[in-house]
Amino acid sequence: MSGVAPDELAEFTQRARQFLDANAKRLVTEFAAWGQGPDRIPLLEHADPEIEKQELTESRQWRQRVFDSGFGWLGGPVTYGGAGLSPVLDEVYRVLETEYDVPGRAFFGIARNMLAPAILDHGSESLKRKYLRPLFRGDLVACQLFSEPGAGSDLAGARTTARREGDGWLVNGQKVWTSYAHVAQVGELLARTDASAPKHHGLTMFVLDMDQPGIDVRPLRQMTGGAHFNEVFLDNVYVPDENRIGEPGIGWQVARTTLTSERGSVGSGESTLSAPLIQRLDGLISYLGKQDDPSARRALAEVLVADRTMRLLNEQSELRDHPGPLGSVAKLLFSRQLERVANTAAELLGDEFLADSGEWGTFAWTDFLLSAPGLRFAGGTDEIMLNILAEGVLGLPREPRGDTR
Amino acid sequence: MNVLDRPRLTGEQIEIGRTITEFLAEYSSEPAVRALMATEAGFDPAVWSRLADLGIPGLAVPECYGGLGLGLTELSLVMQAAGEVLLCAPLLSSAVLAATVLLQVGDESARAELLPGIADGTSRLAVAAPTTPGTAVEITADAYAGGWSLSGRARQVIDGATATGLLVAARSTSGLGFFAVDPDAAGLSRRSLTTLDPTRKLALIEFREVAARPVSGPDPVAGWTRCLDVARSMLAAEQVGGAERCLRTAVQYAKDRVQFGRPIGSFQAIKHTCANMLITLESARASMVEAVRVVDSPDRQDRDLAAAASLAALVCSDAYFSIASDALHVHGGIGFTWEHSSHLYFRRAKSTQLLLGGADQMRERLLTMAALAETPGVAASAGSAA
Ligand SMILES: Cc1cc2nc3c(=O)[nH]c(=O)nc-3n(C[C@H](O)[C@H](O)[C@H](O)COP(=O)(O)OP(=O)(O)OC[C@H]3O[C@@H](n4cnc5c(N)ncnc54)[C@H](O)[C@@H]3O)c2cc1C
Repeated sequence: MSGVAPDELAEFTQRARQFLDANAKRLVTEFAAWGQGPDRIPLLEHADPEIEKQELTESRQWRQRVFDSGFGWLGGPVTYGGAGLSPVLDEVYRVLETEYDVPGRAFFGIARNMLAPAILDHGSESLKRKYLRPLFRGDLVACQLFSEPGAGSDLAGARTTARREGDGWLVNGQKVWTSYAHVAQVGELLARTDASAPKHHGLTMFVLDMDQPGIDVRPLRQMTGGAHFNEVFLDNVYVPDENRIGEPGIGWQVARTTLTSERGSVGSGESTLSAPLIQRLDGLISYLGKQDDPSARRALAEVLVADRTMRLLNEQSELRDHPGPLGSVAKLLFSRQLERVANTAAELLGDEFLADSGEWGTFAWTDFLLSAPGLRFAGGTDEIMLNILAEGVLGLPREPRGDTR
Repeated sequence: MNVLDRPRLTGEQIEIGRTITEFLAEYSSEPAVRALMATEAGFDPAVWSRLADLGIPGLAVPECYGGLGLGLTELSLVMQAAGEVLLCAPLLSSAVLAATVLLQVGDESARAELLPGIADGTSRLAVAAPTTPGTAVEITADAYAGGWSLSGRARQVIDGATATGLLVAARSTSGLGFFAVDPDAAGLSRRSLTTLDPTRKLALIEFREVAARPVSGPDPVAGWTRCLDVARSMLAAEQVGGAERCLRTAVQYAKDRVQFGRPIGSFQAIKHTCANMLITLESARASMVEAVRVVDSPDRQDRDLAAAASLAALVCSDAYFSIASDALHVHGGIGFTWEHSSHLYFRRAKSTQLLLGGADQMRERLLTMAALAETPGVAASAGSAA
């Protein structure tokens, strides 16, 4: 690993294990034994609201304990609550944690991987002091208020406005597809502050306090049947000027920081399919008695090949000078892998996939299949990722545009 | 175009990469490659001896055997650069395969005798052994008073028709062993074959009671398996080099060629094809870099080597062929002409895909190696795969 001496890494690993051993049970791999463990193969969180509330409480308490013991933000500057060590150790710790039976960190993904990097790169000193620590400690769930009904891929066309009002701004408009808005305390809000400027130059980014009047969060039911994302209506919502991230007018740049970081994290270790999931696919093949079936073997090998390649790419991208665009590569590989896994499971199961027989580890794959298409949109669609790679990395010409810049 | 850099190289390694790239730009231009591919020998002895002056064939040969004693990482950089320009030279046959056979399978006296010649380029050895897992050795070795003799045939021997010496795998009553054979020995005949990829020559070699000298140390079977995995990793580097060249050429063409009043690279169908090629290339590079890292780690286990090399062989082979095909397609009709370089890469890509074992075999090895779960699943039920 870059940036960490081998003995420093060994010392850290030992310290982290001590903490984990003292505070959590070691996982005897969740899926290793067929028929044991929860019969869920979730990709997007969408438990019923009561269970979700319970899970959030547990997840928050665990993050707080991790943070207070010094493992919550290893690569962060000490002034803002970090441990002042190498950022590589955050990844080392995350991987170690997956060996233990502890609550997941999905609720805090946006806080950690999207809002925090934007504040770190573009925020004022007081904003950093105010938000970074609680974002990493799990005190705050964040959501990303970017997409609008009229501005999806063309995010710079956002029309929600923020208008100067005393010491702050008044926000009006509508956001959509906002994951976790129903449980979030803060939102990263992209709003138009200058209608006369060209569209990429009239935007400004804010941290929005979600617990205030004028904000109406309405759940949107997604194709899986659950409600992971929401519509958010903003009616004269106040944001103090100190909650601005970066200068007025540079909101598009801040959004790009956020999105680059998001894509990196979507494709990276943070959401790489867990090894247990592939074990579970292997287990399914045994359960079906297809160990010697050539097409089952081939399908499993293809899943394994894609999985290993993705891991290597992520590992090596940390050692590159310009890992940025690899986030788009990683995200595309990840969403393709989800579809590959889902379709493999479906093909193996055949008509057992059509109706719930009650058998463990069979119908549960339907939820996975139904979640997979969403990952091709979230954080920028496949086509937008390909445009970024073609134009940004390969230098191919932009398309003629039909909008007024 | 700014293809993403390869991670983890030292300054010295980058320098080696630069030197070889400059050398090949001068001595392995496309006209030179086309001229050589039309010859029966298929390589230029003068260029080979210049490469030897640079120390290339002995880059990874230990100093005690006359080499430079650098790692296979350095050799992989050479392979990558050679793959970019389709270098016609006995690099894979002699510097990779033969040197590795001697180091992994050979006994001490064979190493001391044969490696210095490989390292300084004065000998060019070819290896006659089945490179595909599960293929039977078609040569038998019989002991007679005072020596051994070989009978049978070896197919698709890389650079076999021009090699100055042969390392031959043969089966005797005591199992598989490797033998050194003089290609001019009585009873030996060799024939250069018409190949899918004319830039890499293959030969059929027949042995009729040919005098041979055993060169194997202990456990030649495991040694040969290791040897193939090293070769697969080096071939993966060659494939990444070739694929990178194809992508670069296609992107340049997409910027230059105008249709409907626009560069074709502004059409998404073309643009996205190129972006997908980039994704495929970067995946291939990641698997190759890992395989080379494992090959060069001092404490590697055979199992890790097999897993990393099988993965790289699978990923880089498929990547090269799909990138070469797509690059050809981006060029339109010109890409289908003999004069255009597209088909040379297309041929090389397909032939390297099959040269050291096909995808099915690599997948089976990977499953065997995968250790997915404690409970028996596919991984545990996999048959043995060399
Ligand atoms: C599960 C999930 C979670 C999400 N969470 C959030 C969130 O928390 N916060 C948030 O702000 N947003 C979120 N989103 C929204 C997501 O970012 C958008 O869906 C996405 O950016 C696409 O926008 P759109 O849905 O308006 O589709 P459109 O932009 O209308 O796209 C429709 C189709 O046209 C294609 N297309 C559009 N433009 C181009 C082009 N230039 N070239 C080629 N093809 C093009 C697209 O690829 C797509 O296939 C989430 C989405 C999903 C599915």
